[in-house]
Amino acid sequence: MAVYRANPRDLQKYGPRLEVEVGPPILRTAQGFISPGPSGGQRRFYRLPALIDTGAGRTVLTPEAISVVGLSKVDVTRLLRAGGISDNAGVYVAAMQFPRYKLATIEVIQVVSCELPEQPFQCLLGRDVLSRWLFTYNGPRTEWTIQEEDVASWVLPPEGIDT
Amino acid sequence: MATGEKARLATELEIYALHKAEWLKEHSGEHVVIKDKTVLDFYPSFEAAYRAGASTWGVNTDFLVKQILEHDPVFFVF
Repeated sequence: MAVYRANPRDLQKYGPRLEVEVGPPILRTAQGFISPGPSGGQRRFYRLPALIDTGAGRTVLTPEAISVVGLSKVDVTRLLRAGGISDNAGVYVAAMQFPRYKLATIEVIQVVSCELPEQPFQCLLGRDVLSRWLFTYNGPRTEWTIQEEDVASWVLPPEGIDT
Repeated sequence: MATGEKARLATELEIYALHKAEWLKEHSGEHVVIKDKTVLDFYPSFEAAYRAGASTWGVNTDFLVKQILEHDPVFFVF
């Protein structure tokens, strides 16, 4: 179980935030992995600030983050958000890791491109990711927890202590 | 950049739109994989479809993985 105790004001102002690492999808085969590309490039992950968002039906990345990571496009979709509707929001395929949390890597996930103007995060973890976890938001204790089956219990140490 | 971004998968989406009515009859709910004008096959899940496309064309290239549905879903982000 990952437990995060936040600064009370921070949790109320921004919500439950965490760092994620996003990279190209991980496809295992009997021979190993499917190569990242014809040139056999490196499998590279980029660390991004993310917000757990129960109001998001799908996980979202900003167009800038998608461009930096260099994700491949697999579809378009309709996205309804506070600022209006996007009829052709790009859908990309990625893998996602949770570097400071003992949570299983998501090896293949679809992410939708959406601007997140003036927000301190580049990723919204939507209900597609939350469907894998038991997520608890404890307001009075200013902490949130994630429990995942088949992953050993783990508690995030206080800030300032290297893991 | 916006023009380039819109152009990505434009051919594949045209092929999908052209065949959607026909595919709804026999492949409703399945995922079709298309690159350029080539239709690879139909698969029961996104992951199976993506894996087949990536095995054929690699993971560093765009190809369409589209679930065949009468009405495309709308996702909400609030």
